[in-house]
Amino acid sequence: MTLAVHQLAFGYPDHPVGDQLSLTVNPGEVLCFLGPNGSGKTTLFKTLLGLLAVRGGGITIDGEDIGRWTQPRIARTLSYVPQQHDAYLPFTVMEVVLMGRSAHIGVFASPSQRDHEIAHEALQSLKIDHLAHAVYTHISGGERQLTLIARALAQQTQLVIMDEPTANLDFGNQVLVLNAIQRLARSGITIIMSSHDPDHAFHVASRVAMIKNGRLTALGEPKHVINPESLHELYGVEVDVVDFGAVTGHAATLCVPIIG
Amino acid sequence: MFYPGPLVILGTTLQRRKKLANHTHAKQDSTHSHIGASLALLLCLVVVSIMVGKFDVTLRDLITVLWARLSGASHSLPPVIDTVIFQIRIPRVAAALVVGAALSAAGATYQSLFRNPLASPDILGVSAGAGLGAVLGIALALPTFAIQMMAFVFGMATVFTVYFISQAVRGHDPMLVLVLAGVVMGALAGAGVSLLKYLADPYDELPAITFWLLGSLNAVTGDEMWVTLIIVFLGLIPLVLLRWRMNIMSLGDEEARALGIHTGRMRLLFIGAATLITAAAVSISGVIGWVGLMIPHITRLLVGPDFRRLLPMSMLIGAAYLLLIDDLARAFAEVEIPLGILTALLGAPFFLWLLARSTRGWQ
Repeated sequence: MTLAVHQLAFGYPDHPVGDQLSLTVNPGEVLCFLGPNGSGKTTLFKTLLGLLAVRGGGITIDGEDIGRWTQPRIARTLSYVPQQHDAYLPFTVMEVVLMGRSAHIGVFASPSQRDHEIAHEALQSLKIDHLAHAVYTHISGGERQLTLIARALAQQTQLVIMDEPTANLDFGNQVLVLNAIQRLARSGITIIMSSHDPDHAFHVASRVAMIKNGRLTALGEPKHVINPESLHELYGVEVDVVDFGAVTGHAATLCVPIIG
Repeated sequence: MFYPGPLVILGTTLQRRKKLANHTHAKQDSTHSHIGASLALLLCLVVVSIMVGKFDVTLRDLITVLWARLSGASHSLPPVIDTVIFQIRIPRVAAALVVGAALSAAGATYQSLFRNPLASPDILGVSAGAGLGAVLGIALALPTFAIQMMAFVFGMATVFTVYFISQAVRGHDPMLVLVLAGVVMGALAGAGVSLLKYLADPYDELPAITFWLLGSLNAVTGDEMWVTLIIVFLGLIPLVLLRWRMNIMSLGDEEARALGIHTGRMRLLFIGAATLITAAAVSISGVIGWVGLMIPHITRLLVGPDFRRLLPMSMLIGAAYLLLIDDLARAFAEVEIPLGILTALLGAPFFLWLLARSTRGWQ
């Protein structure tokens, strides 16, 4: 499935955030948005998900304008992984993941045995099936993020949108989530994500989109797009981009801030 | 506004819930056994409640009279026992059951919908509006049934005003605007009530107003019961049909929409249903606080937040609780104590106790 954005203007009714944004997301790729706080990443994602009205231009999936799609239809095509938080009622992990099935079952229906199986498979594929009956508000931030990713898997969409999936996680949990993203991408799911850490783009992204003040400033493969100049333009700080591949023996390009 | 996660988790409850959760089927089975045990307890409570009161009714009297009624035969007991049981006790017990279940169902709905454990059936101003309607009815010296109708209509009207305000004010979190509009309309209705109390005849109307505002099941008749029962039943239909969707609504507006829910319609339906239920209950009982706040909260600690279990269990526990409170109100002192006083007297300290035992605070 190909998602394309044409000359998109997006934002809130009394507060435009960005405009003239065009890009195409290729099937099976991991597209990572980088940009400072307030650059419009989350607003763009909400617009793609139909949560905010399109203010100009359009969004198509396989050439079809999704502006007229109903919310359930969008939810069967695009799933959303919000930043992990504990603002839920104390549902179990299984109950949370099952909610991913809501666009697939009738309004008055409850999840069937089959839906339970799908939810269980989603947990298994992220290796967190042992948490199925743990209470969501009691597990760690990383486990919560994986739970929300599992919910998106249970939603069985071709495209998954993840809003800063590594935000507010400790180092170990960040790696856990990045690994999960890599595995999903290998299974053929298209991922659109954002990150506050350019290193993460090197780790998992096939392409990077840099966004500032609601406008696309760069788009391309990480090694082509992420460099000291573009990072300076984006964040206003001095950064070296260094390839440690020769040291570690595996691909490892990292951004090293120059401090002092 | 955030739901603070498990506001209060009692150690034993937590263990039970973990055990419960070991297997989906085990969970369903134990939910059924929960409901079965609660129903049995409730039945015992109903029997005791019919016997409690100024006029002694023994278990033997009750069985004799019921049997006579069922078989159509006559019995040798004084006819006043018939009157007490069928005209006074049974309507009152039924009213306690219906009002307790109704307030708890509405409270469970609002708490899930607003993701807030402090949400209660009157969060959108239904009780305040109903209070104004009833007080106005009393001030105009209307008959009882008309006063109840006034309470019902004013309660519904207040919530619809709140809802339309929330629709008119855009660009904010819809839930937040709803709650704030509810607070404002509640304050306005409260001002109206105060004004009417100030103007009321202190010997005649004022006591009636005060009594109504404190809540009582004293005057409920069989006919009023039926009307309330039917309205509550109607309000429950969407809640029961959409019981699983409610879980998704409790994730918040944006996430629910991203999961494919038409949240606008769904919210209107849930609020409409819960308001209908509350207005129907409040119109016969007056303002009874704390039940709709406390009962769903305790029930969630017992069975978890899944609305499919939360709704029926809240209703059972709420019905039993209000029945028990009403028994206390009748039996505790020479003079009958208004229900609203008892529910607050028992509810507030209990809630504080829950709060003190919480493993995690409010957010």
